[in-house]
Amino acid sequence: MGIVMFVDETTSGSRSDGWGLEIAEERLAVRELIRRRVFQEVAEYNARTPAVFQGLVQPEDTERVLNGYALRTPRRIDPETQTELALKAFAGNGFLVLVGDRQVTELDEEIDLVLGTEVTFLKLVPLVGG
Amino acid sequence: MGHVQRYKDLIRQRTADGDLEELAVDLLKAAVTNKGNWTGLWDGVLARLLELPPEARARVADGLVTQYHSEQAGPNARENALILLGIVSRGLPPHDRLTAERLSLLDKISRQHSFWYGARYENLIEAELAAGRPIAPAVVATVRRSVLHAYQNEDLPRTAKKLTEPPLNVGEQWAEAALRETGTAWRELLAHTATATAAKPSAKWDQQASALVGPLGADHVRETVLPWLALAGRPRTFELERGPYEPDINSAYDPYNANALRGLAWLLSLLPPHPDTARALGALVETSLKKVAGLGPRNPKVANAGVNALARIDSEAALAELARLATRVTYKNTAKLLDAALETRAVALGLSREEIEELAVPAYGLTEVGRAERRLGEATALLEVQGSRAVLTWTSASGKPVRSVPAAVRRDQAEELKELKAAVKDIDKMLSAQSERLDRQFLADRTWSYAIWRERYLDHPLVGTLARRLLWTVDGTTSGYAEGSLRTLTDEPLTEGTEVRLWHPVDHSPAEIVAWRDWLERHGITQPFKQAHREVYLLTDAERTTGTYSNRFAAHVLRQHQFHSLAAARGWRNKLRLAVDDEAPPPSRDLPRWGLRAEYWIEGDGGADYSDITDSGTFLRLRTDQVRFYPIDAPENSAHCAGGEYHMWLRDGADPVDPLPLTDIPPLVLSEVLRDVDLFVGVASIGNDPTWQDGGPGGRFQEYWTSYGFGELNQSAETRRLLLDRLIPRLAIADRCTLEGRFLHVKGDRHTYKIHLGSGNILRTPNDQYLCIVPKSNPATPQSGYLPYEGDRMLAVILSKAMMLAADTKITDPTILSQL
Repeated sequence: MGIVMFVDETTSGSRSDGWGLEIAEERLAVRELIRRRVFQEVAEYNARTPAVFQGLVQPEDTERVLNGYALRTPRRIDPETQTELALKAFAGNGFLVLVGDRQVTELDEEIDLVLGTEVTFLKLVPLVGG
Repeated sequence: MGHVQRYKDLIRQRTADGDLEELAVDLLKAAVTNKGNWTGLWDGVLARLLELPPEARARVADGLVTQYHSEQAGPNARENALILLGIVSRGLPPHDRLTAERLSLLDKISRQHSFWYGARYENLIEAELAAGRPIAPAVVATVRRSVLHAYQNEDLPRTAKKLTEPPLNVGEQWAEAALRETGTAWRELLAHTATATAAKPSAKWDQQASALVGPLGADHVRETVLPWLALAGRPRTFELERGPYEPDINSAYDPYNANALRGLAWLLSLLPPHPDTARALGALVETSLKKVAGLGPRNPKVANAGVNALARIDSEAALAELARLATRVTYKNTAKLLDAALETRAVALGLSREEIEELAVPAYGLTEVGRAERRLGEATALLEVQGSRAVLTWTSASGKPVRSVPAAVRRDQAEELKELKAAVKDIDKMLSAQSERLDRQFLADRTWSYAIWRERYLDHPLVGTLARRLLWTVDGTTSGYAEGSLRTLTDEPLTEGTEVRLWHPVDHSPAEIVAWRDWLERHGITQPFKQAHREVYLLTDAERTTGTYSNRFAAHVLRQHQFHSLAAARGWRNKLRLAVDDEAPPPSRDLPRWGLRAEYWIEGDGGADYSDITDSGTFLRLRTDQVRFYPIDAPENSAHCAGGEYHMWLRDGADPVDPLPLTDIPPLVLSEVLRDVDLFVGVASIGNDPTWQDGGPGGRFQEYWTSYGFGELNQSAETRRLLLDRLIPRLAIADRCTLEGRFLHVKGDRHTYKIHLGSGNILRTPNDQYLCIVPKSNPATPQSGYLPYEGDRMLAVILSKAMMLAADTKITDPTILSQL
């Protein structure tokens, strides 16, 4: 058991301090790691239901605003649905996950979570031809 | 109107009552009422005043002096008193009322550019003349300038006519040199040049000018006048006071002297032709078209006179100068004149306009391509074109190279040396003009017969230095010049052919383009302009979808004035957008060879409260929209200057002409037009100006600014670079990425790409083909990942592009696939 640090690396040069999440297992699949993160941030949101949701992926029926997504009507977010969205986004290059100094690309890849492991999420943008 | 009648009545009444000193007070009150503007019906009041007998007027004059000195008189009242004094004392015996005060007011006037005729300052001059004193040259200059806009007024011009000395206005270096260097014999000639107020000289004007030149001697006149022209446009000898909202009058020509300059240009064309004359007139045209703040081109009238003069001179040097100017001048009126002059010459010789431009390139004494040797006494001068510059080197009598001009040459061959140095300058200028002309040949789509092409291009002593560094298509085979001969890619000599074209990369495969780049490198050839490395813009699928327009360069914010001059330099027609209720056509470029017209749609952007405009009401910035093509003879589109849709307003219920499908546009034309537009955006966009970090007025361009970057990396791009440097080794695609200079190079399976760290634009290597991939503006699915911060969106874009391109075989988006 140990604390895994989730770091959202800002592309403007600074890093967020990160937040810790207690994880009992020593090895975990990437899929499960993402699920834990999403569950945690949804749980925190649902506890307070602020106007803006700050999470890994945009919930359905929300508007993008500065620093998050605004819910048209205040409601609870379903962690399962949100996890589905996050996994889909990962598969579609919506964001990158770095564990330690290595990018993980497969959802089923098992990773070793030694003490103080840092998991970094990097946002990407969808592209089309012009 | 009631006022006017009241003062007329007052004059009668005061005269009858003998209260003439009192009348002075009334007149000053009248001046307050009409704000010192004695025009229109107020003329009648002055006339009434002048009808009074001299002794009565003398008493009014005394009254004015009293009022001038009275305690309650402010500066305005004093000025009015001085002017009224001038009026009432007309024809009175000489007196010394307020003389010093008048002189000081005149001194003040002499520092102004001009005054309005309603101010009646001519009365001050008249008073001075009546006192028998000469008028200071600076005052004369102001009066003359003022006369040029004294409409429907006779008093001021009448007074100005009395001021015949000096023949030119003081204050400009060239005019003062002319006044200093010439004696009485020249006065009449100089005065005659100042009468050049028409667009073209009349036969009578020419006749008179020739008659005046006669006794002075044509050569003497030319040698005296040419150095003056070189001084035109230099800083004034004394500055004029510039009022608010006034253009930069100190950089403008003195309008009175401008007529004289025009006259001098005409005069020169009446003298026997001389290379120096052509050179000086060409320089005058360029100086006169330099832009002045708040005014635009300094003085198109003088520039046009220079062109007219060159057109009248029947010499090779003059023709060459016209051809050179035709490639440099972008000011529309002057460009039209140049065009007409060359056309006339072409018709006279039975040639096409293009041919006359080709034939007009002189060799300037070069005996072989880019080289000439001249013996001057014991020494030898070697004139050589190196790159795009002419260089002069010397060898002494003993055959040793020497650094500077040998003393013996300086002493004994001063004349020849001067000529040689002038040739060096001419060659420099002509090289850049020719390089620009050749660059324009891509869209002219010219073909030459082999023999003519060799003579006018490859083997031409001057043009050859450029042509031998370019690639040509001879009967379908690409060839370049190396090691004394025209060669193919495999270095086989190519000695003959029938038809030659200028090579353009759009017609060739990337492999071939790269092979030629290697070839140029191998032979150490630097091209005079981008040819082998020219950016190619191919039609994208998005453009196939939009059909009749390209959105590739839409939604940029450009600095209007910079865009305007760039557009003119690339042969586009454009009108500056003013913040007025008017319509204007879009910037457009005619492509007569193709029967097409390209349009780039723009609109003015002055901000919500129209604060982003210049003093003259011109928008500082533009927003951009589509690029479209129309048949060249389609009616003009137009849109409101401040924005709104472009449309064709047609008479008689005619249907508007539809834009042409982009698929119908020849790839070469599309590529060259989009290259122009990319240049406009690349250079004039506010996005590449580091001073816009704050997002401009009210920060409203912040987002645009941050999302944009071109050219050198700005600070944020440098930071991005450092970040990528740290990030890339950790990514799964690390082995496919390298950071080099301003680009992130990404090796895909199909191609290698480079992504600009500033703008995120992608070029496909090695042929620099622009790859259009943009962020999806409105993602339908929530797949856009989000992290709880607002970071550097551009880095995300670059990373996303790198990820996508590293696995370019997995791309499914058809609009991207079609570009690969």
